[in-house]
Amino acid sequence: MSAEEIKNVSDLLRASKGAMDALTWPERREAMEAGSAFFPLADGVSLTPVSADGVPAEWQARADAPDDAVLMYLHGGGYAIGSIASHRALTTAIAATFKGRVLSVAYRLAPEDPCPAGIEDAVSAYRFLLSAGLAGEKIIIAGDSAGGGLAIATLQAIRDAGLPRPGGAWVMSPWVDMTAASETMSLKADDDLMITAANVTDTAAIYAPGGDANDPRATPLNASFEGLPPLMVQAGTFETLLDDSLTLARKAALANVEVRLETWPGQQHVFQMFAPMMSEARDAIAAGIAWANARIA
Amino acid sequence: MSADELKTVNELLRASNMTERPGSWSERRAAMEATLAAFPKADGVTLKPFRLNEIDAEWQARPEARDDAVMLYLHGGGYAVGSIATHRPLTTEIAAGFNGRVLSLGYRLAPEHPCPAAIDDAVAAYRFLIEDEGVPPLNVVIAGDSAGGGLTVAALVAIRDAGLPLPAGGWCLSPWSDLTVSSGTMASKASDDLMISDVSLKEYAAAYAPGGDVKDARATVLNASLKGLPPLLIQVGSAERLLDDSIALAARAGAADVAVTLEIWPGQPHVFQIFAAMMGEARAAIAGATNWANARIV
Repeated sequence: MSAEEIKNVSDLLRASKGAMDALTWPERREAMEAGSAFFPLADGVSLTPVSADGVPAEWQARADAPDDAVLMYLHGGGYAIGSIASHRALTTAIAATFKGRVLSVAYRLAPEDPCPAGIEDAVSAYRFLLSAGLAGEKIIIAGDSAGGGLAIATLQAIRDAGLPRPGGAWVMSPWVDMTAASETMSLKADDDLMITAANVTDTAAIYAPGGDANDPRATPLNASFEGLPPLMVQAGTFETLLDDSLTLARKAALANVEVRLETWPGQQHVFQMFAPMMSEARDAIAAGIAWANARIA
Repeated sequence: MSADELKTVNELLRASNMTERPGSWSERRAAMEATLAAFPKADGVTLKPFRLNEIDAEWQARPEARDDAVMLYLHGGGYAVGSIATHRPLTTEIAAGFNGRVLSLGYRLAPEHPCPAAIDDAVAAYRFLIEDEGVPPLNVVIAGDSAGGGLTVAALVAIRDAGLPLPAGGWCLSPWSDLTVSSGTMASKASDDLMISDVSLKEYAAAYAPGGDVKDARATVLNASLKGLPPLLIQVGSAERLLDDSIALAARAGAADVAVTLEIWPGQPHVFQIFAAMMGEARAAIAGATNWANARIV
């Protein structure tokens, strides 16, 4: 039952809130991977490591997956943690029904490699796909949280580099504003069990170029949205980052970009991760995949 | 071809000079009727007009439509013009795809009947459906374009506040949610929007707002508490002065923990769905919405 499922997720998040604060970066990265081990991988999806022009990545595909379409996935983790492994349950779930293959990308992380290292790696992976013979319009870029922000920044970098336009981008709880200045940052502070304003500003300090949160590569809301492909944006209404999604939709709309935005009542940041525990998470993933499949048709 | 179809629509809008609507209210009403008279109705939809509590209403349904599901449709026209007739091309197109019947409502118009007359009429029609017609509330979707979109939200709020069981959802087509007419896109999209004039909107707002207070939450639904509202589907074109009305409505509803689906249709004008006969995107938007509504009802 839905309310009970949400409660189970909330209890889990409350128990782990603040648990990472005393850890070092390597310890945090390990903790995230360890935590994600509980989530099962989707059946029937094979995993193949690959070097995407020097960027570590992993193909995730069903045996019968069409080879003319790819969903390039940029994991979340505040630009500083997270990995292919930490997000494998979610990305293999996508690979299970996406009409192509998934390429999960291990872009370089802060604080060792701040912005724009992550963007450069994402663009390299995109170029890798193009040079492998894929059409831009058959490539969907997707990401959660910081990976969602990175996806938007990558779209902008792809456009600025004059590369063929991707078919679209699907972002879950995207983090597109490093300034932590939005209304929901305070309005939803009690509801959000994961992200605080301090988390955002701490991340800006280690990720943004020169620590400047307003840099458009770290806060893609500040860059141009002209010519971007269609966007699918999903956010939980209990998120401090809810306004990031709304403002993203607005910026895109002002630039005449096609947007589909979904707000999911009572859901937390990247609630899609809790697919094994919550039907809404599975519904949201299904909606994202259906959208992606329609884009590449 | 998609871009050509939109070009034709924009040429039509330029030629009809829709933003220039001087004259009395009856002249404006007549002008809207005349403009939309040329638009074709959808095939295969039967029309049954009747009087519902002293206002006009009309059933619109395919012969095989379920009679236990209804979309209650609230036409646009700045709360002061428009009718069942002006919107028949749009609503019959909707009826062609919705699994239930459409009930198009001739709610009372401003300035003769300012807010909350239209809301009262919409709520009364909803009560008629669930109490007299025996339609399960969760098989009712309320929908409307432009002012009718704002009215959809106002009606949902009123239904909630009256303690009535809520319907399955609300579908807002380019809703007018801010009668202060002061949003960012009211200015920034002015040259892109060939339909809406901010001067006209302010006249309509003054005619409708209760006691002339355009900030009243029943008129500017952005100011209402939206908690507890059922899921909303909001469709808007990116070439609209009212673009921000849709986005702000999505933001307010999302913040109030409502399930919102907001669709931005690039380059499309205000209530582009009325151009269903001429544009694939218009038909696609209607089809997407009727699929959404069909999935919501039980």
